[in-house]
Amino acid sequence: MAGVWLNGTEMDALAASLPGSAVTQDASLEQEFERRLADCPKLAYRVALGVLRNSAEAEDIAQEAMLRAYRNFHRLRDRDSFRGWLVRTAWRLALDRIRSAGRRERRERAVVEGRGVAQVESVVATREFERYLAAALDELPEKLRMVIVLAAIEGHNTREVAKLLGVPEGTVKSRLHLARKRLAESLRRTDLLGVDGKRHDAITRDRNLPG
Amino acid sequence: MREAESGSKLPHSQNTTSCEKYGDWMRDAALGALAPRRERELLAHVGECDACRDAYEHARELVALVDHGVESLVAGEPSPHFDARLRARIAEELPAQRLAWLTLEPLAGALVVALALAVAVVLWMPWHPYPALQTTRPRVDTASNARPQIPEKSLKTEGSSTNQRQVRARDELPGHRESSVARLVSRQSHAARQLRSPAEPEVLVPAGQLEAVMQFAAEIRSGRIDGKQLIAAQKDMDKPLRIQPLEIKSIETTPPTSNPDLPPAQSAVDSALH
Repeated sequence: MAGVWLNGTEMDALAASLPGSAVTQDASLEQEFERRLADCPKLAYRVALGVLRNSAEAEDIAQEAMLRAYRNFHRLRDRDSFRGWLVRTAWRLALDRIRSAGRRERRERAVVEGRGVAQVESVVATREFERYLAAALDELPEKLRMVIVLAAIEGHNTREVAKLLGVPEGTVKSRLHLARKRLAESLRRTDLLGVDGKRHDAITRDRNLPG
Repeated sequence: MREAESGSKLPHSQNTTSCEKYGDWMRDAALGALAPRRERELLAHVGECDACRDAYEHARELVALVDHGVESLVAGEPSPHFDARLRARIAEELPAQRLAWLTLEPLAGALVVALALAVAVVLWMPWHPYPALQTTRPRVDTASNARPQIPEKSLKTEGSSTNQRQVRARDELPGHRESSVARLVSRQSHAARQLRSPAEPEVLVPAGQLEAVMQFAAEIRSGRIDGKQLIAAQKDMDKPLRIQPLEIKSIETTPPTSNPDLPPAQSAVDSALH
């Protein structure tokens, strides 16, 4: 009776050295993941940013999402859907984080505080606008919010968003339309742009919009 | 003036009734969702009505602000250290995770012929749920009716260092009986154990059964075989787990009868039909 003792490292090395064997180290999987590292972290980061609106926290979420992607990469049956999987994972992780009570209170307080100071300068007006927009975005149903965030990332068109979410393009179009309509209506109700045009001018100038 | 888009208050116009119906149209047009025919009509109207033109422009600006605003909320890049940090975290992943990246490839010929699994496996699971077992390694032995060959000398993986990649062949057990379980685990020398990290999985592979062991380990790592259940079933950890050999017989196929009058493919089809 004889045998060989192997630890994990040795097993890896031997698996890679067995030509034509039943078990091999899947080098192509490693290479494929390397390719995903080139662009996918930014996608995960921006998705998380769309929920958290805090760069440090968004980066933490993107790290976690990519790490989970690495752990599960060999299990993804359809590797082309990796980006969609990553988007949903980053979104879910970001939501989990923001659902903690303390963080929610902090975000709400930030919006309320913003209302008190946004009456003087154009910069403040711009920030106030962003706060209101963020608050309005948070009020959207999750399906609408996810679509409008994804559409805003890297100029995704409706077909690309549909692919990421795994839903028909028509569904994305209707959700996107509804989300933009609700946001516009929400901002219009706040009269944030101001009928006198001062704050409106400041915001549009800041964004290089016709105004 | 600006309330025109909501339809609640109409812009002043020479034709108020006409302006009223354009309130919703303006909003839809600003969102790019108005039918072309209606959009042409709307544009014709705003070309003539100053009040509606202002309202329409405002509606378009509002939508543009929403679009640009959302874009700005999700704009930005991860820090330059993102990649390095991620790679460091990946590097910290357990060796078991790398092992999970092993994938099974189809065997040559697509038929597995008589795989007699006679393996003696000791796996140290990093996820082991029983802290008390950390000093007592779970053992998995198999009956050895296939009786692996006995190499006489130690083996070394080509190009590997002595400490990390040394592969040892075990000497034949004295007094080994045909029906006995191979207790190879207890044969490992103390010195050999010292060379290994206790956190790493260890596998005792009988000669000639490397592929089978690799396959078995990969199945455990992937979760298709419940390693926890295997260990939980072992009441006395001083005794090795026994895994009985599994024999898979080859699938007998009848070679197609060749017909010299037909091309090879047609001949095969005929054989299948008859």
